[in-house]
Amino acid sequence: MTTKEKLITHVLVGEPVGSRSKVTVVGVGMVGMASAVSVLLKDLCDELCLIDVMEEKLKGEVMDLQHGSLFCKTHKIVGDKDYSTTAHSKVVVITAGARQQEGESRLNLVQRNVNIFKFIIPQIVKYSPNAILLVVSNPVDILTYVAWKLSGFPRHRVIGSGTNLDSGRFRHLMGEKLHLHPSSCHGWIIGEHGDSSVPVWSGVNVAGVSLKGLNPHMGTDADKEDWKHLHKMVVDGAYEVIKLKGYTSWAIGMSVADLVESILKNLHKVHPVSTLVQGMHGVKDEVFLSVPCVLGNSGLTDVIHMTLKPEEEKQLINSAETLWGVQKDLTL
Amino acid sequence: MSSVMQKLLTPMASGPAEPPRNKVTVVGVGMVGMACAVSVLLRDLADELALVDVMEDKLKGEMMDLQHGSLFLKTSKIVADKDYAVTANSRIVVVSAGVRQQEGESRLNLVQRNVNIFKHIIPQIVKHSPNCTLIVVSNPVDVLTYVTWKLSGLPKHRVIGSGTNLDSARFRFLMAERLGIHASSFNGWVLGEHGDTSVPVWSGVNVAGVNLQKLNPEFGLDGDKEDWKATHKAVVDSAYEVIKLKGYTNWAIGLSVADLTESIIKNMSRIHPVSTMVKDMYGIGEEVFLSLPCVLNGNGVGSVINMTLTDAEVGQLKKSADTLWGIQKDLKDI
Repeated sequence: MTTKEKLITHVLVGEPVGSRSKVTVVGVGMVGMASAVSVLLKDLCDELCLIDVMEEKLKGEVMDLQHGSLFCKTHKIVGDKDYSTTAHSKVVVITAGARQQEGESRLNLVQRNVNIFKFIIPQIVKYSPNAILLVVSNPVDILTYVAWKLSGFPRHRVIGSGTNLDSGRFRHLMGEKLHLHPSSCHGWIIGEHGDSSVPVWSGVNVAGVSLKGLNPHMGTDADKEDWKHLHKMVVDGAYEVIKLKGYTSWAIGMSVADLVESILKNLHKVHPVSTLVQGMHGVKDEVFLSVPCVLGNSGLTDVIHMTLKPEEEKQLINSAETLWGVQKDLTL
Repeated sequence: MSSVMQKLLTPMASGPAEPPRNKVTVVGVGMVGMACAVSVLLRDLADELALVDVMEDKLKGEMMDLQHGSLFLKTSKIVADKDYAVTANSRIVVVSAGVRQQEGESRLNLVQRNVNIFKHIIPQIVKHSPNCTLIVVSNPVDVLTYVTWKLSGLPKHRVIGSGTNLDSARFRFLMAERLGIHASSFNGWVLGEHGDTSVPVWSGVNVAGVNLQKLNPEFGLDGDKEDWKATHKAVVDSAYEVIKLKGYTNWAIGLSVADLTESIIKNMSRIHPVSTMVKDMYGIGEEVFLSLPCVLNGNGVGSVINMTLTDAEVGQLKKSADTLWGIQKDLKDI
């Protein structure tokens, strides 16, 4: 008898149930690994799967996470370049693709990343036909559209991380200005995740007190306190971090874990994420933009209809037109 | 004209802001330092996190990236500077600064390079946080913990090396995999040097109190048909293997440092295998640091467990002590 046989008697009859809340992260670059570690440290899944084409890097990352198993509550951590390892995932986080270089806008990355998605998406779908896709790769709004088209999934199961991070940055900056925790500072940035995101000043509040009510010039150039600068800092935020450390990872990783948590725990929490907005706010094209959405274990089930000013709606429509201008020329 | 803030808030408290109670500083924002920082943050262990490094742009970028995630965290103050004044009033300082092992390089090779860096770092840390507990991670950790202790002038219970906390975690994971159980249900200790000559205490290895060496008398020995000894070898080789595959290791060490930090900050008195001053234990006559099971709490190392070791295991510890002292005695200016 082996030591194991002397120690342990197997009493289960039949096959083990297997994992119930499996999360796959596609791409083990800085963003993918930050997302993986955030999901792990928040005890969100019972199985974590990593996928990449770079086999040695992938194996090294899987081993490094496994070596920390004693300190975690995720019993199974696997990784392979073969997508069969991803089977039966509840959520698939897609971070694969090229990243912004210093000074490069997100829109520039498009065609490079579309080609990568044409390889990735069908394989994910094949092995996890019921999964919820969470797209992070940039330009996220366009790539969420691409993932939706390539997967054939219903729109409620294809979500873009969108302005969840921009709103997080905004609320952090708001918190710094008011000496409050970001979770007590409410402000929504919607629309494109990128240069033309839309801060909804009318909704910015603390404990229900509208800040624009206290300062009617908020968000305009006439504002002596220059709150508008906060939004500019959000837009510039990513570029600045990239310039200083070469890439961004931690904040986006944490924001991904925040979304995965709402999905897996069926929280019905409202997040600004990228979804199909055709027919909303005057948008006519088949584009994805961030608006406040309800997230649960079915995916993105509902959209909150914000009361926007005409200028704000116009900005959304402009973003939509810019995105459609790029999307219509893509070969999918 | 009053600002939004003045209209919104009526102040109640007057006087200066409260100092932090659970401040953690991480020195070095390389891969290991940032993994430690992120693990501490995601485990909600600190009310303030400070980062220090000499590379100013990288440091600022890392600080900003963490701050941008503050909505999702419960650590409301994240600061960074190359000036150590930013580290003042830390409860715990994690030292991950220094050069890392290149592919194939042993930890002992790094020594003098890292001693010179520590001569700059340690006095500054102690100046600004005279009551902190230091956790040394940089390699070779046992030697550098000794160096840190000497340079800091702190009592020995407040200078800890991350030691074999990670080796034991790897050991427990790999052994548990063979049995199909969680690492936390597999009890086993790897002690001594963090590195090539670490000592697996086979006689203590158990699951649910069942001693595995009693089930299999060959357990851990060379003749063992099941070759359990290979699992310890895999632990020693682990770091080299991960470095070969991805260029460095960081996640596991980051998680293990957060685990140690938790025991100290929460005054838990949990036992961890960490590097401590072992002179006068097991017949060791020199001032060396090796990993033994230590009770970690608000004091740092409250006490050390007197492990029952076989003569062979004691021999291995003494041999490590001799090797380490051989290096330490030649170090300059500490």
